[in-house]
Amino acid sequence: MRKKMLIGSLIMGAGLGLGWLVTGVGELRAEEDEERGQSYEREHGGEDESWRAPEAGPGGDLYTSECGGCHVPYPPSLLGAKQWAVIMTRLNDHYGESATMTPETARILAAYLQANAGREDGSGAGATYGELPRITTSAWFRDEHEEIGTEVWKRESIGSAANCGACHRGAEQGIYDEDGVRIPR
Amino acid sequence: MKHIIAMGLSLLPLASPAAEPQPDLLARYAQQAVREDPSFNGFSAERGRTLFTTGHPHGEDPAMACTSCHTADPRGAGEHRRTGKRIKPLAPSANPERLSNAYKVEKWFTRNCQDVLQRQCTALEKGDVMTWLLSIK
Repeated sequence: MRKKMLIGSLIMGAGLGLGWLVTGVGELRAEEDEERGQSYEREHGGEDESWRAPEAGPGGDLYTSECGGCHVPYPPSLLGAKQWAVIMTRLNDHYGESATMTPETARILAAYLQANAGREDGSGAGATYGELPRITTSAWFRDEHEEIGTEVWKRESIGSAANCGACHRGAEQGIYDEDGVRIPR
Repeated sequence: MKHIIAMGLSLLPLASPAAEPQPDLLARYAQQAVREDPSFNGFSAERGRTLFTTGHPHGEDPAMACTSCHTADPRGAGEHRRTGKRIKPLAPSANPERLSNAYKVEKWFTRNCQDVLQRQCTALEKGDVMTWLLSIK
């Protein structure tokens, strides 16, 4: 099943990649992808936007400063628009902690997340915190980290699957390609 | 009437993330502290240190304290207890950016007092902790 899906997405990715090249936008995209590492591109046809850092500008900067204090500013495309909307309505209980901000800040961030959200079904069938979705229990996340044993996640140097930067050394900059992965002991 | 409401809104403190750095935050906490308790007699670094280093146990985390993430030494880096994210030192002597932006100070007190104490801090408590952090060489 997984293999079929993988092949399907490779074909789709290749097709879409060709589309970009034909329109000429592909050259720009290819350069960006090269900067972000090539192995992910090889696997996914370079057509995945999940690995972009929060963009510079009012929304992206605010996202980094408001959300990036406690955790890596997860690329907004890792959750869908509906999921971000749910998260933004529960900031007083944000996975067990307060992430409150002024209403104006929350309004700007909610709009930013809606504009940059990713696939709608990102949550997969994984566990949630109350009604809040988790990136780390989504189907694609588990696929991507399939080879990581449970004892690895528990290492003191990692602590939590939410600590992307422990292994993805470029996580703060939105770089998650495999070439940049160093799993600490 | 509308005029009065508009004036009131413009006086709302810390309403915008773009607020200018406000080094007089401590003075503002002092004004609030007087309003909260007319017998207010200045901030205390010692009280601040005690609040910061004392455990505030509650249901989920019997060892909950400011030090759970920030460690007992504000000159050193801390680590978020859940996500493992590194937290820069709190003492301005070790990290000059700290306490320089009123919006950020108020944001973190709002979030962290709720997490640690399960309520908002009083102006006295915020001023005490700030005074202690500023006193650390």
